Amino acid sequence: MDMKRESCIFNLDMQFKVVLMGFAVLFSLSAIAQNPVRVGVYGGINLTNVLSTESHSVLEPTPVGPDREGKEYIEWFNSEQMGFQAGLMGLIPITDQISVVPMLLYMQHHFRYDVSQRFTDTLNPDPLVYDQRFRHQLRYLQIPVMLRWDIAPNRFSPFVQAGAYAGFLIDGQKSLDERLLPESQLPQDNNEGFVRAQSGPGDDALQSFDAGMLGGLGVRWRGNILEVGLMVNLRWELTAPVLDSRRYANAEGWATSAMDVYDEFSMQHLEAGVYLLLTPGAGQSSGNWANCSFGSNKKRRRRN
Amino acid sequence: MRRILVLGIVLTLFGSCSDDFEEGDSFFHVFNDDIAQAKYMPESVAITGSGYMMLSAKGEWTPHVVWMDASGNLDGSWEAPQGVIHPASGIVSLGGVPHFVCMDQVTLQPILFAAPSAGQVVEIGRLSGGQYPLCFGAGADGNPFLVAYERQSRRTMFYQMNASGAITGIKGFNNLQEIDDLVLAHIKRQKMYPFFAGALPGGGYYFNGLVNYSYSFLLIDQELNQQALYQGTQYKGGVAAALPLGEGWAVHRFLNNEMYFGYPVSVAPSGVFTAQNLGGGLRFQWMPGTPVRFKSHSLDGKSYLLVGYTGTDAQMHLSVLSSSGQELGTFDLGQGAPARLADMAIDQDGGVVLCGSFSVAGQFVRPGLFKLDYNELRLLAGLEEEES
Repeated sequence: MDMKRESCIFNLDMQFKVVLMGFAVLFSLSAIAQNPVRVGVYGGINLTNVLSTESHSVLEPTPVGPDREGKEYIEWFNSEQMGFQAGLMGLIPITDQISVVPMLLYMQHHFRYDVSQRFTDTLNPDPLVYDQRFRHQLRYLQIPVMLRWDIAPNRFSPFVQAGAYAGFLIDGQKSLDERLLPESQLPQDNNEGFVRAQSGPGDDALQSFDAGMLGGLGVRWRGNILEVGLMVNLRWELTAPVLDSRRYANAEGWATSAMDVYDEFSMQHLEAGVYLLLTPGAGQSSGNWANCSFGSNKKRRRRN
Repeated sequence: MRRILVLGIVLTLFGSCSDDFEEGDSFFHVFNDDIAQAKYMPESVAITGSGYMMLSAKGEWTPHVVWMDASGNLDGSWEAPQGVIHPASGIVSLGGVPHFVCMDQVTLQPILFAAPSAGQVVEIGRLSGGQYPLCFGAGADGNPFLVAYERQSRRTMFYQMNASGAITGIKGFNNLQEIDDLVLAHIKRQKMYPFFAGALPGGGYYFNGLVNYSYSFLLIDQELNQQALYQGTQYKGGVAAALPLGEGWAVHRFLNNEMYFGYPVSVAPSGVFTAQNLGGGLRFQWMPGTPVRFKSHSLDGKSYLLVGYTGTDAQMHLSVLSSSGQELGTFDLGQGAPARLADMAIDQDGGVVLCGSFSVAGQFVRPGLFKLDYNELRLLAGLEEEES
């Protein structure tokens, strides 16, 4: 099994080199661009939605099996689905209004699903309810590249953007909270009564590589040196995160300890963030940063 | 335009990146039941034409069968009608149809059942005069046999059958001691004895039974004449698993709460001995009173011994041993969810399935089946991964 992992790492290494080469080509071409390249930082939060396409489970109900509906995924707008992202961002202008936006991001995605089972007690009319609550935290290093169109070539402009991303899984953590109570004793608040049963690495059955599409809109304010902006993007993962060959094979992991395996699923993320970009070298010709005025590129060209 | 072209190339490369993995054959399924008190004790697993079949005792002794498809998903289940109890260990394929033996609750007669398809079980016949089935197996010719206990004569009986289940030979082995309580405790799953049986490579059979005042291990020839007898320490010790292999026998024996294992071990073809003569090393990590299973397997053309056992850590374990007895790797199953091994079988694709009981929510004991595929077995044996 380890050998399989090693061969995967080799492939990822090659993929990573290809991506880096692409960036190198882009940046070298941008050197001849009329508008300056801007670099800076980006950070924000994201909400994850999990779309299960094929259900998988260790527990198989027999015809007299407990009432069990499979995993119930928590949807977008829940604090448990919220992670954050931060990293570096670049803006490589192609024309006055069209730019390439490469990023290098640390992404943290959270999601949760619940599993509930009901057991009839023949000696006691009060059935037993067994609830499991699985929380996942996946951390990726992702490289999105988007094509951005600034709607107006002004200091203040809204923009739309779309592109693709590739990511590398850093690690995944998983935890299980559970409760086993007679139905009559279930608390009114569905979040009460759980105790932490287990936590630990949960990435053994996950692909190391992921990729997808992303796109969104935002607004920006641009000066000669500084550009700040706010954007909202939707990410749509296109690769399957789970390795079929390891879904059940990780026998020392969650499959046997908590009788839980991943469904076949894809993730979508709604992210919002702010960025701050600077123009490297801007103002150096004047020799004095204080003399740099915030203005449009058009004005700066006129002064020159 | 050039830059857009470059960007397009980069994005295309992004899209082409993917991990190239083959779909795995491993699976793990536990078959659940909504009755909180229901408790399943799996006995045996068999490979069927379409998947797997697992025989268990539900509750105290009610026979229960679960069928699974090739991916381990539930394909059907069956529970014996009232009056049919105690599934004896062992499933035998006759004409491609799995057969197993249970017991009539009133007459104590062994009943032979066939399971031609998922969810379907047919009674084939009842063994007149027989009582207390203990173990069901097949000889080198593929014909079945049954080891049972006859309470009136206090003998362990060996019934040789033909392919249609008709008795072709009977032999009794005297125990000469009143041990009804012990047999009943086994049948009621209160204190189980690991009865097992098999075929000797040169013809004949080996089995363990209640013989000569003890839990004994016997070798008999094709005519059912006793050749070798390894006596246990009364009923507190004896041979609990054995498998003849080219290099010698794999033997597991117990003495009170101590578990011993030896491989390769020399088993004399004739004579009377004690089980302790078979030696073996103490296995502290094996849980006393739980079944141990041996399977011979070939990986990349080399012979290996697979040893399945339940550990004192309440996990199932599968060890791969070389033909010289060196342990090459061990696989653990059941961390955090107590598990107990019942049986294992070599799959048609070279993988191995382990059946046993697992605790859902830490307390509801259910039957489960885990499959380790061929490549995972190879890795356990320390063989390099195959190029895909």
